[in-house]
Amino acid sequence: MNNLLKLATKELKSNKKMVFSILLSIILVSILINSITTLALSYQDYVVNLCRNKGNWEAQFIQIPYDKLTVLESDERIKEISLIEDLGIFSYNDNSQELLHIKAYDSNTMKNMPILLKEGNLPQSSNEILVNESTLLQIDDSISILLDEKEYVFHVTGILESTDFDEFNTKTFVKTNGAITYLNKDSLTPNSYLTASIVCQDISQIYDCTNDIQSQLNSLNSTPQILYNTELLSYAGNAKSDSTFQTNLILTVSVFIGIVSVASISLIYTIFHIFTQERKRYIAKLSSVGATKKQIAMIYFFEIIILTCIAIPVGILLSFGLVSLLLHVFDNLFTLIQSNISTTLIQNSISLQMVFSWYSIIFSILLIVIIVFFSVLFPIIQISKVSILNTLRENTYYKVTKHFTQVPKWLSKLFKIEGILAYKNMKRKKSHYITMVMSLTISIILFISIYGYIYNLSNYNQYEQHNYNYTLNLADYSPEHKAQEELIEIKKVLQNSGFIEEIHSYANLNPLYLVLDNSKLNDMLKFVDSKMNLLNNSFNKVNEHTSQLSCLVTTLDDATYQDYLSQIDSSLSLSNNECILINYSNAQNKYYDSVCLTNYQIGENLILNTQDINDEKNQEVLDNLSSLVGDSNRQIENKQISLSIKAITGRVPTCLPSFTLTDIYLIVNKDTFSQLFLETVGAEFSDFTNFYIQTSKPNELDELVYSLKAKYENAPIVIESSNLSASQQIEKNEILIKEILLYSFLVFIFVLTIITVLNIVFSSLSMRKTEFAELKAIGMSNRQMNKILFLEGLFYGTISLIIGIFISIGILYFLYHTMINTQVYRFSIDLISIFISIILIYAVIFISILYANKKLYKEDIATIIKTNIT
Amino acid sequence: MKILEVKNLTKIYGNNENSVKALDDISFSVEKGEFLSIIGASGSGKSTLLHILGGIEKPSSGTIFVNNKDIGTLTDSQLAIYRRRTAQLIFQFYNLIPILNVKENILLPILLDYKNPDDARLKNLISLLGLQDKENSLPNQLSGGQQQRVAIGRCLMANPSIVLADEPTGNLDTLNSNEIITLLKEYNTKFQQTILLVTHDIKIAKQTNRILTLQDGKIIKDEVQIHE
Ligand SMILES: Nc1ncnc2c1ncn2[C@@H]1O[C@H](COP(=O)(O)OP(=O)(O)OP(=O)(O)O)[C@@H](O)[C@H]1O
Ligand SMILES: [Mg+2]
Repeated sequence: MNNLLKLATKELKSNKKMVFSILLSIILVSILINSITTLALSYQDYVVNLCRNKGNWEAQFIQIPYDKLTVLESDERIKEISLIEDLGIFSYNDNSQELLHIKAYDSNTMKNMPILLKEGNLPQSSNEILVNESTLLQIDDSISILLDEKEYVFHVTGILESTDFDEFNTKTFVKTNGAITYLNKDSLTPNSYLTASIVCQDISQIYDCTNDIQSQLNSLNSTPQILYNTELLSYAGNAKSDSTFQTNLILTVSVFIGIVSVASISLIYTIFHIFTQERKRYIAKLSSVGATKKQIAMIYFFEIIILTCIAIPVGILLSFGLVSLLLHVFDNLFTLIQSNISTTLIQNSISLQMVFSWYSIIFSILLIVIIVFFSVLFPIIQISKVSILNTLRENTYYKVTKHFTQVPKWLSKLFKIEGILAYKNMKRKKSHYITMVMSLTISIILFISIYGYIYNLSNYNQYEQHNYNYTLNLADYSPEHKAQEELIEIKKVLQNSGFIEEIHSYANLNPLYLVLDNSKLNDMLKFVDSKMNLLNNSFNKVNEHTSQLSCLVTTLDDATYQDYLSQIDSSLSLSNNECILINYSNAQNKYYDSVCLTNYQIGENLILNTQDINDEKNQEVLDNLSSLVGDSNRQIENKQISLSIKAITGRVPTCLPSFTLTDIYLIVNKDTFSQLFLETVGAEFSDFTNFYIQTSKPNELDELVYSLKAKYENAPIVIESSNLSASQQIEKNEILIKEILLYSFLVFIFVLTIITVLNIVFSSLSMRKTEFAELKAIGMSNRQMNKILFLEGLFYGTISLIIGIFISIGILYFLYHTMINTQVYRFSIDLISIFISIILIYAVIFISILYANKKLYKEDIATIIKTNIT
Repeated sequence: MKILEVKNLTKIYGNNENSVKALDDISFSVEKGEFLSIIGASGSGKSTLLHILGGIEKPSSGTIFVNNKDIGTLTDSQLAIYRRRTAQLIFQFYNLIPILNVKENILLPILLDYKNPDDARLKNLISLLGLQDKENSLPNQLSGGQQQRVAIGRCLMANPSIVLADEPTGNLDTLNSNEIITLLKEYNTKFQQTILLVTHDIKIAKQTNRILTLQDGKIIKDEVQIHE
């Protein structure tokens, strides 16, 4: 054993070139595999942190009485509890138009929940308060409210940017503004109801923890609702309901690791195969002096073990360096990009950091060892079986065993003698031929599939990307729509600003409700709906036979409207009381890329209600709100509207947001819309109030809109704007990360291919050195020799390309159906990728042939013949 | 007619300290149709001379005229054509192309010249070589003597101005050697084929028109033999 080890080390030392390329290949493989796992872990960590930034909570107990909180506090698994008390909606300082929705946050909530503070400081005590910027209040103002017939006075310490509990109720035209005060636990009574958000020590314990607490609370006769942060939990891989992220991540990682493994085995196999074959004579000599097959195999195993032990740590360390460098570069890149977007959307941006676990390292090491083992197994078995006599007697490396039949006629006609020689050369050694074609085919497949994936990714991005980046909604909430003049003024200012390049306007009616027979509900909708784990059905059951779908009636400005109609059918036009039914939902779902919603046919009538069947429950709330603004006589009664379907389509006007399963869109002409507006709202429809804007100066537009908001602070107008360029940028960044990663992966794979091809070409040429010298001696010119080599390359390349392109199209199709199932786009093959791979493959082959040729044939023909014959 | 003229040919291997003078200022000329043998001790420079004449090695100094053309002035590709058409080499170790069958090996120089092979001539040559039933065999399916006959066939098929044979019988038994020499002789007399033959065997040398003896890279004897 010891002697074999010695022999192994001696051999390694005497074959520096070969040892170097084996080491290099194992290091490359280690880098790739460990980088993939580390990147995946880091990405997951990044996404989880990003999500925590939006609200660091894992589960929420809603409406838990204060005295039951001890159950949570005594649970050791809980790391942090954040409390919110919803104080309710109040009018303040006798102001009748503006309402405040006041919530009290404790210090943990202040820390864990995003509070977008525009100016000022967080409240430190229960008589300090933050108010929304849309109120008329300023810092240091005082407000007084009435709660339980007692007067409370708050001191304004800061101004909030809009919060998610600002809302504008379209039924009552009442706007409530968010306000946050400090939660003082001393002032809480045992019966105060709180929302308690928790973070566990270990996120994987969240369900156990909440279940235990729930049963304890139940035994105390308290049944608060539990809400989970499914987004966060699913990113952390812990969500019960939605494991899409985790599954996709694991699937992606496995696909990449699979790809790398195949490419690696092909690389290491080739190099090791050549390594052993080149020393066939030496092995034959070894066995002629009495080494057994087992001993020979052991020598090689020792060699490979020594090399692997050196290569793996080097590769893993290098991969850590590489990944952290990569992430660092990305991080800086994003900070750079983000610094150009002045928005609060990306407040405390999360930095990309490298994360790894010991499990991932052990997994990588095991995988590399397995890959190396399988790569060297067959060459070692082969070499240990070498026949002494045959090898020592063999004059050339290639033993020709096959009796060649004729070379295809067209080939010898077209390429003459060089074609014959190239063809026969290629066919002479099967294992060599297979290795070469296999490794080329693998890289072609990898290239086309990864490129295709990237292509589809950016395709998808384009599909999602609309040609607007700014939305603006105006609303007149004066009871009799008296603020029209102001709205016209605002529009004028905007139009003359010069910031707007393109503008699409639309107007929606308040949501209407389509009550339909269940037979009209499409089965696909029912199926997808049942699979989507939605909290609510997209359709509400009215009774056994009928359901309700919420419905949005929209009209568009003339240009957008005409454009839209012509997209559906050039001869289409709508008369009064006719509509276009958008009957397909492209809501993201993994079952179908679009879902048919209803079974309506052209010509049928739709009956729409103004009243939600759920409204009876909401009636009380609405009444309360109405009474708060002193407008209790606003009557809410149901009206019915009938529209006939003129066309059914899946096409959504470009300016409308991509919509969800829950909505049906109806497009009507302006006259119909005005009439419906009058009927349902009781006022004249004057002009469009919702805009999708294309601007190249979103920040300037933002400032303008803010100044308008300030100017019309006292008018009964709501101006809502949202700058989408930031979120679009974030989306773009995500795509960019993916693309850069995939492209660098591609480069890596290509390096692997080049090394493999170079090895094969180099060894094949060096083995045929004598043969070529002999050919030259009888009169073959350099040009003819190059032609032979190029033809061989052409044959190999062409065969590999044909196989590779077919397989990769298959793989792309498979990927399309499995991996990318959540995204919405059509299957397409990118011809450019095929074209590039054709060029690259030939380039790799020819460049390695040229390189090997140049290195090998510097010697005299006579010298080669003299040295290699004896 | 002078087909080959060698003037002051010198070949030095290696660099200054451990250089070997394989050929030392050699001059001689050969007439068309001559069958010349070159003998000499091992290491005397015979192969070196043949390799230089065959255009697969470059001389250190001196000039070689073949058909009145200085081959030192040829470019690489012209040299390839020179090897293909003018001076064909035959080696001791046959040097056949293992992937080509007998017929293809014989036709190789012609195919490299993109010429259409003369079928009648090929048939003739193959029967002359006694390889009629081996036409489609691969080299490793042939005996040593048969392989050498293929190599000679390849050389003759190209119809070169000069045949340069480096110990073509060195690897063969007496019977096979005699057959090869007879073949070459026949070809020499029948087609006026110029042949330069390197050999160790004085008996073989005796059958040629002229014997050149080399020693330490110098010609020490140049004798013309008259056969009856
Ligand atoms: N490539 C080379 N490098 C250095 N020396 C060489 C080389 N080739 C030949 N020689 C030397 O040149 C001299 C002549 O060699 P050559 O092969 O011509 O001899 P030879 O007469 O053919 O011998 P043999 O009968 O053994 O074949 C020898 O001394 C040899 O060592
Ligand atoms: Mg010799």
